[in-house]
Amino acid sequence: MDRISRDNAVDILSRLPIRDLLRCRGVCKSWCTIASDPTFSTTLKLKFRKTSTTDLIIWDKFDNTMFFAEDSKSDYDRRNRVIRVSNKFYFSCKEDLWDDLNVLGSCNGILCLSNFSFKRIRLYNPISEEYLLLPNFVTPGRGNKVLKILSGFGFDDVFHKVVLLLFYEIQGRCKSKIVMNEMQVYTPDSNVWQRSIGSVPNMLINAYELASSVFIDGSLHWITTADKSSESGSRLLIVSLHLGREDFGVTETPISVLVELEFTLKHYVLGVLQECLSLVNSSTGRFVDVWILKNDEGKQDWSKLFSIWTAELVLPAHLNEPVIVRPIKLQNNGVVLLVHNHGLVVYNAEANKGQFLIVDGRKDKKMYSYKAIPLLGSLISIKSPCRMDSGEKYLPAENGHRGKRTCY
Amino acid sequence: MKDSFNPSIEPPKKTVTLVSSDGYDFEVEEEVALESQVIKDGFEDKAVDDREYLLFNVHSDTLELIIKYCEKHVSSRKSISAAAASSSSSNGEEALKEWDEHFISVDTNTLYDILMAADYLNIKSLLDLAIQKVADTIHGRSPEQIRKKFNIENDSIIDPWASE
Repeated sequence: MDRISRDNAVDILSRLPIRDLLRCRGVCKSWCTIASDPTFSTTLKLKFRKTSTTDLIIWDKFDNTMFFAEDSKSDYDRRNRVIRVSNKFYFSCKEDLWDDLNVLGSCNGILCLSNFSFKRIRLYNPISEEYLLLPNFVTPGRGNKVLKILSGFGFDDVFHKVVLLLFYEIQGRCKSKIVMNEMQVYTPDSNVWQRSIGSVPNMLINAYELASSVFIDGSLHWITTADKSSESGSRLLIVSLHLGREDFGVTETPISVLVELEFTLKHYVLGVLQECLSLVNSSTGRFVDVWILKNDEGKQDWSKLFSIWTAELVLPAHLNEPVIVRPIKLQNNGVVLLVHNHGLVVYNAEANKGQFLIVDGRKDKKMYSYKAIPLLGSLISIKSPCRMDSGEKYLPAENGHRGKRTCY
Repeated sequence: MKDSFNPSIEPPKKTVTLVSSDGYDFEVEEEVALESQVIKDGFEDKAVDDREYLLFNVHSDTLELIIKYCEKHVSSRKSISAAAASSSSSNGEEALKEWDEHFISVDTNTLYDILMAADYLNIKSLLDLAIQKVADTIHGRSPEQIRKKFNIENDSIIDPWASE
């Protein structure tokens, strides 16, 4: 193997499923170096586009277990749709006494986990089973009341490191009406929370509390509303933050909607389908609309992929309940994998049929207790600095635009 | 000349000579040699009567295989496009895929030789085929089996299966 060039070795390893890759780390030093390189994950991503398998993290919110599942095209073709589960990646959170496991995000093969009160946040790579408990963050100012916390987890492609952000809305001690938006940033190589008092747009804090961010193309995206403009409600918007450049942006949604009450925002869910930002709208109840934002030579255009009859996605018993649908994966043949509050569903657009997925090896479990998030496996190490070794793309903070960030 | 009135009869094929690292000459048709991007790039610069390429990194055994691959691909491409032009159904691409699969089913050393030669000559489809074959060979094997198969020295510090 040492006869062939590094480029070819990278190419070979990037074609392997993640479990093979894990084994390959044990073959020799040079393979281990390649497989653990953060930039390798990007190469891997390119290859995964060609292949049909994707990996998912499924967690059971009732018994707080989390497992790594492999979803492959061949399984879709069978009548009985089964998601294969690897027990090796079984992750039990019981020892942590988490009663409310929450996944804040997934990027470059790393999951960010916490409970719903944002305590005991940890980063976890389910492939290498490495994890890192983050230090507790401190809310600014004594006596201030935190009204709301919003999170974002992504990969900074300028500085090449994973970034966790927390925004929170705080109320001063004197209960004044002034509300500050604060942002805290954590990166594993410094292992401290840093506070950035950049200009966080006020409308970001309008987002629904439990809505998670979506990471794509170096930017985090949240669905939110504009500041209240008329009596009938506020306009639905997508706020984005480019992690490398630290600038906020606003993307229009495909539908012009005025949202009256904050909790109705949960019917609009962002996701990533085929490398594009996608939006699922289930606010009408009868239909679930799936949109994607296509990027055509710099021009962005929303297009509606499917309008699915809700009855195809949920059991009759749940038909009258609100359904919140999160897009997971779209195949070229028009088969889309969705997760909603009553289970995992595969929807086939051609046949206009939805079908529940069975999680292999857990037949006794009722599907509605599952939640899922796509995870593109990588062997990126959390503990070692996540930036590149070469130092080529690493710029010291004083040269960049990050001088404003102070250690908190 | 009678031939010039008949377009279906092609002019005599131009050839180039490829010389392997161990000094053997291989005379091949120009279009076969042009499958290699490296030869193609250098082709325009060469004088017409001096179309000889010294391939210092490719042994005659490997070169023979590479030429066989290129010849097959050139002829298959022609028959596929001919079938498409006459809109007759053809399973040419399927058959070529099968042929590729058979062609690349060789021992590890030969596979490496092909991979490196394809890289050196920049024949993209062949490089892709060889790399995929290596990846398929790794798939499902333990580190020990992989080391044995590819003759890799064990300098690894971690054993991912130690915990199992």
